[in-house]
Amino acid sequence: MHAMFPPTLRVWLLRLAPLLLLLIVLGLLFFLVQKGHSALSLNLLFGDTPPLMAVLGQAAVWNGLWPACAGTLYLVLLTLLLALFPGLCCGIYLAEYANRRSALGIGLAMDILAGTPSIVMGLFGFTLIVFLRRTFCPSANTSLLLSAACLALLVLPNIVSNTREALAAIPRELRITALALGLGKNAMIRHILLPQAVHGIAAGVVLALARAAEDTAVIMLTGAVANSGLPAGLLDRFEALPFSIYYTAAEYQNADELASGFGAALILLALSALLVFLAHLLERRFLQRSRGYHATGHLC
Amino acid sequence: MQQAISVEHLSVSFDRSRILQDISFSAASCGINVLVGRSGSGKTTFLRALNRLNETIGPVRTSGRVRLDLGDGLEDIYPSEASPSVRPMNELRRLVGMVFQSPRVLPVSIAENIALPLRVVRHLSKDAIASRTETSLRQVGLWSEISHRLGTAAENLSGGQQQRLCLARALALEPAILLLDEPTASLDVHAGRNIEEVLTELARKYPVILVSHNCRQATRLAQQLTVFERGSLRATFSRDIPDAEEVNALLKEETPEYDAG
Amino acid sequence: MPRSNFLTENIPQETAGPWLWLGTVLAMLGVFCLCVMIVVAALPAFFSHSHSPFEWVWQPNQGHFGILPMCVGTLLLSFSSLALGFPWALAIAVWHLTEEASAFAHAKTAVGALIRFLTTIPTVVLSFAAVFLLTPFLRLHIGGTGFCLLGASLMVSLLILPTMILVLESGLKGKLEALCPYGLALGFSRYDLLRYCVLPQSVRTLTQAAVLGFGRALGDTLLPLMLAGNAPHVPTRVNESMRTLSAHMALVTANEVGGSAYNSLFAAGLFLLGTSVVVTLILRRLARTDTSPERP
Repeated sequence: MHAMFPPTLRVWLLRLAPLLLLLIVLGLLFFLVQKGHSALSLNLLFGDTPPLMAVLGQAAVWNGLWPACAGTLYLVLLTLLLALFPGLCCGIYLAEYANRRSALGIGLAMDILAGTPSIVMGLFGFTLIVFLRRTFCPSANTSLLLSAACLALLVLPNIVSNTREALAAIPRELRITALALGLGKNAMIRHILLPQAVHGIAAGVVLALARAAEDTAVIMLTGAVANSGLPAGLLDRFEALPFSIYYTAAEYQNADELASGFGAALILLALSALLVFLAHLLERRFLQRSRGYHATGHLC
Repeated sequence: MQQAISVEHLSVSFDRSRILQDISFSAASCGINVLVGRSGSGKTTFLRALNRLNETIGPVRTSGRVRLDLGDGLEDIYPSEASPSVRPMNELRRLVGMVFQSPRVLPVSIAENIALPLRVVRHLSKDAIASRTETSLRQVGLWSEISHRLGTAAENLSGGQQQRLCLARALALEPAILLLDEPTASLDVHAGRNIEEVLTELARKYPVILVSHNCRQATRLAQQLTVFERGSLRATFSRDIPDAEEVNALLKEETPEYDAG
Repeated sequence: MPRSNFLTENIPQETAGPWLWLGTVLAMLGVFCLCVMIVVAALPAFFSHSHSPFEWVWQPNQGHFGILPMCVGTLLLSFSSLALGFPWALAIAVWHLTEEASAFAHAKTAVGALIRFLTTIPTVVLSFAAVFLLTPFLRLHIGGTGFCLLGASLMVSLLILPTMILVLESGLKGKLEALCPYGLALGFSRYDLLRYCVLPQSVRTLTQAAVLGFGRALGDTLLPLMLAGNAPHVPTRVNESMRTLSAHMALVTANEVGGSAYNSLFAAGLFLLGTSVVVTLILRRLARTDTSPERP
């Protein structure tokens, strides 16, 4: 081989690439932890308000992250509520019922949705409000509900594709056995396939939750604000962790606020990592179950 | 004796390839009918034509006439001009019990393996399910072995036990006909004999169609023996079942092909 | 005996229940509404002559609502991040597939885990860290405010790195593993096999990774918003501030400049949606050889 570089030089150059990545990522993480760990305390979350009263909603928190955390929690749950039903149905339909043409069409729609930048999703919500203001509902405003709806659209492709893949991974033999027993197609899906696919589907749902928790661009345009306290209702503005982090970077006044920004960044990082790890565990459990069916010799 | 199965001029093709060619077959309402043939000769496809399972594999063309006695005398199971309305497929498959080559237990507990189809397909009550479970497990001789651990995963049973469970599951649905596709192929000799004993006993009440890979087993069990060769019937023996060596020889013989050069 | 010819292909398949239909229709409705609203909202922009977004100047209080500098900014950022990130991703993927020294076996698993961890870092956290770490560094070494094209490019390339690495690895690994037993026996190293036998045949995988990375870089908002400075002009040097379409959209809605600026907002949205649709179609084209699995 007429290599441009002698082997050892090339080998070491190649090793530089992951090394560089390692250094940069660890450097960033270390920086975050170093700047933020001192802020991590109950004070960060609740400020001067007693924690128990704040959690129960009896007292407002003025200089803590609790409203943002609660806002993120509400937002994520609401998003799940809105996205779960269409996502599951679409995934099941794609995997089991769609003929070739509808599968292509639906798949295309989902791909487009998946590739859409989150800011465009936020713009969609914004456009909706502008439209409503000019036509049916002059008092329409950005809100928790709007953000959740846009986030639901954002995470829909995740749920659909995970559901579809989880069902497709179920071995054929199980389906034929179910049909041979006299189960109709609908019964087979409901009683045999879905219970088998549950872990794979759950992994997709948890990933969707993680995405909803960390997204900033959508909520920026559809109702997140820097200081509104706990969300009073579905049609109100709200605070959220990612937006608070952005806001701190842009508008911090003193060292305390900056430190709380780092603290918030650490909390969000930990939350995101935890959720993705959970999804990973669920996916592994799912693979074990579906591979196990093969491994015990139940192949045709 | 009554006829339980009547097949006339059955031909089955998948895509472009003809798997079965003009098969005519009949079976009485009890007794073991064994199908033998080399691999690829169409035995499994024939079996699947009887519970219309071929249609779940892919696009298939079936022609001819297949009539089964599912409790009301012989009835067509494929729609045609003569009989445009036939039983829905899932009802048919409930009444025609099938056991596969390798044990296909559902990934649930032992009790649930039997209870699930009974609940979903027959809509039985809990008590009815419990009594049927015990009956069918006794029929296959499994009750004494596992009655104390019905809640454990079915996948933890041995191969022979799993296969008997599959048979029990089929029996619990109270089928009219039993189809078995090489049921002892993946079992050891002892477990295989177990199954054969159960089948011989069942054959007193049910028509049993058994595909066998083993000439000795075939001649041991058969009350009617049918030999398949490359998609058509080579021979059928109803009274004088030949012994194993003769069947073996029959299978080894090859119809001389025209050599195109 | 009557012969009946029975075509089983004509049997109607069992259809989905009404709830399943409803859910699927809802999902499709969502996508449909998204596309329609963005297009319809952007239409006035093409017909208005006074506040046209197709100008090179953005000065709202003087009546200029041009977003073309931002379009250029978006494309510049995406291409430069791709230029930085793709070779890096390729190098890491190649290393991961061809590293043979046993001393580095643990490093391989560690880097794999690190890449997957990188995908979990929220973008806002990444930009937050970069604002306080990278920006002062740039300010010191290349002048300017530190909020510039280079800073944003570096971080966006970091952002798109994991996706590209994963696509490259999954595309190259199979082919490499297929060659490995006898290729190695002939005296080649894994690197030789990859470089001379697999890579030349893997143009499609490389293109997929590049297009995917490009698409991801195109749509990101937080990194350019927080790191690129947001000056609405076309940058002439890497240490100059610039603004992308995504950041522009965030800023316009935040500042509520008023109705006349909205044309530019919707036009920007349409541009981004259009480019992302094109990217999606290209990716689907590239992935065409997969056949859909059969269903019983």
